[in-house]
Amino acid sequence: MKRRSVVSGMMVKLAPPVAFGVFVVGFIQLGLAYTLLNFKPMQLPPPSAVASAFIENFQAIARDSLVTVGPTLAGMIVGSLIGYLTAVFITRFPKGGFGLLYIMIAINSVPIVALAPIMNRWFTQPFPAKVSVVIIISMGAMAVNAFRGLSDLPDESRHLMRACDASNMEVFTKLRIPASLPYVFTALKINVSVAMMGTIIGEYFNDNTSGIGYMIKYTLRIGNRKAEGWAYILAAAIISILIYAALTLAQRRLVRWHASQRMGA
Amino acid sequence: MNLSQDRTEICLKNIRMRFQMKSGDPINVFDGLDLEVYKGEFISFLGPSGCGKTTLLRLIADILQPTEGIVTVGGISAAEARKQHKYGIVFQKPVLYDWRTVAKNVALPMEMMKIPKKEQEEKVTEMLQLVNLEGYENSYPFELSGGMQQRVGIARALSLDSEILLMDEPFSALDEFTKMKLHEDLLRIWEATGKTIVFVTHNISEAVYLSDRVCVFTANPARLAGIVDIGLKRPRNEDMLISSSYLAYMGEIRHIFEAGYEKD
Repeated sequence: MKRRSVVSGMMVKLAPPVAFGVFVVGFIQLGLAYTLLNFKPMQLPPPSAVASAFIENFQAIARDSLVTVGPTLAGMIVGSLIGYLTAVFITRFPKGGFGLLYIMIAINSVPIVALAPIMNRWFTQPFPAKVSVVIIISMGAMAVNAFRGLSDLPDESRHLMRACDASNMEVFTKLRIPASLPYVFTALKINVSVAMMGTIIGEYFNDNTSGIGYMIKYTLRIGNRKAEGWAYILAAAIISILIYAALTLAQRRLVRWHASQRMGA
Repeated sequence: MNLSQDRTEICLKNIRMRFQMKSGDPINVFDGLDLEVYKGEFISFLGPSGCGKTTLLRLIADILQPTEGIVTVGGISAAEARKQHKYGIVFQKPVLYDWRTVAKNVALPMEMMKIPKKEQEEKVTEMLQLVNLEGYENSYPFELSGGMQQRVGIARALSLDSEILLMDEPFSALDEFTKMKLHEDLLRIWEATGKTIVFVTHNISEAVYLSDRVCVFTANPARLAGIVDIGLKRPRNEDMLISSSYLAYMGEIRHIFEAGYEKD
């Protein structure tokens, strides 16, 4: 009975995005995009062509995807870690530390398209060039969100710690850090798409001839390989969704006590 | 003289508090307040919001420090008493840590005291029995009703066997029926443990029903306007709520409030 309600709950949740996907795919596949919106097939290949390009080139796409996933995850993890530690520092030393948050936000707001070519000049290898872009753009969201989670606590929560004569360390381990976890997940989820974007743009500007970013740039330029370009875009979307789903699962396990996990429950 | 000193658990002497507001003049609370809380008594701080009753509780708890005056608890300073875990505290909200189970929430103060795990578990079982929450050890706070959450908060405050229980409007967010039940439980626990309870409330009826003494505070300026000894016999029961002496105490306290406001 319980299992069944979980399944039906999932179906209700998935219905709108699935319906939307079917509509868009159908709209293009049935030619409506071409007749009504005046698209050319070379601008927007039919989904069937994209699908067959995806299958035909699956090995190449998988190889390039791995090239892209590596720096995305590495950069996201390192950048988020730096952001979190910064937030811890600011929470512990608010007077001196608060300026760091502004610096982080300032660095964070440098446009990726400006950052990527610079990092490609700074690093001779493509991997560190891409990772550094992703680190820089994923620090800010984590720092801002984590700081909120670490510091935005009800007075009484802190009074309780005081009544227990807690050390600063204990206030962090027993109260602040667990309280920040929901915010950490929010930041990580924001960072998934940001990190993918950072890597792909990094590859777009890099001389190295692999990775999803490079392949999108390369194939979309060539007349008869446009569908392949779209297959790479599809791959990028699938990767983002998979990372996002993994985060959602981890969140469900680690912060199932939080209000965000109980919507409609 | 000596006798009364022996009985004194908490002593507040010549307390003055000045709160510097962001805009305008500082606000002065308590004009040299003196108060003694006796060992094992149930004392209430009663008054409207802004009368300083919670501030006074926080002074005892060493969450705030007085601008002037001295707070001692069992002969030592409030700060020292806090470090020695002389009191447990219950807040208006349950203030449970959402990520901890009921058992883990109750065990929190013991964890900080580095009390052995085994001992913690035994104490948790005992405390949950005391507040009628057996079987909820592994539940999370969000799975409990407001009244049950507040019971967990009380169990946590009792877990270290501190002599003093400080309660800051603990039942004001609960419905009348839950509140009645918790009143019974609190009095039962108090009688069983012999703790000194300082109970902050804005509810006259609650203060009279529970307390040995009611300290009546008025606002603007915040001050202690009078102390009423409640002579209702123990154990208290709900029939007393319609007794004439109960109503007389209610009347006496109302009268102190009215006199306090006429002065303005």
